[in-house]
Amino acid sequence: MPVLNGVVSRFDDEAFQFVVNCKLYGTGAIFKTCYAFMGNCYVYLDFEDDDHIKVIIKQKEGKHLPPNFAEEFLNELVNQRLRVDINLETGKIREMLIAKALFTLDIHENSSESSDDFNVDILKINQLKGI
Amino acid sequence: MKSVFSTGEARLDNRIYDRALVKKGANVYADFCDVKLGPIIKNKFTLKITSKKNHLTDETRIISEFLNFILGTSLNGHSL
Repeated sequence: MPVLNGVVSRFDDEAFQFVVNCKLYGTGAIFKTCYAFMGNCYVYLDFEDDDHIKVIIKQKEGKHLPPNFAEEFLNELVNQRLRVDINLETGKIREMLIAKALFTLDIHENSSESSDDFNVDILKINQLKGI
Repeated sequence: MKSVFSTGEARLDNRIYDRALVKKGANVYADFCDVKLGPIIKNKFTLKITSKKNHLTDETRIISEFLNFILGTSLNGHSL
């Protein structure tokens, strides 16, 4: 795997080491990627320098890792970075939608017609049915 | 060369691993291993994990589980 030379290396105890560029992926995306793998792997992180994080990952006993694990990890880094970017682009809209939905819910809950009694027909469904 | 999961000796960055949380984690694993922490110097501190005598056969696993545990608790503090 010539493309991964210098990015990925192996230890004698089968652990992988990645050196990841913080400026390219962002520490948040790197942390999230590592967290996603912690179910199947043991993970150790350290700042190599101000711009790079060293990630050492070892498979847990009894857990299965894909043969192309290194590539999968690098793909997940891109995936998480993209999620961060999308969150930056659409996060405020999502927050506004949630805030609006919760605000509307609050008004309904505080309105005089609101009741926990299921016999009270808030939506006037019976009138629609002509009952 | 063996990794940190086999040696049990590591240099941790306080920006990733909160030293206070690592200290609490050491209490959680007190039945399985002894943990020695060095002082924070330029955001880094040393960590040495040695398993208890009755868990020597599982030393690598205990070291690995402890490192995962403290990373998990520290990353949660980073508001994932």
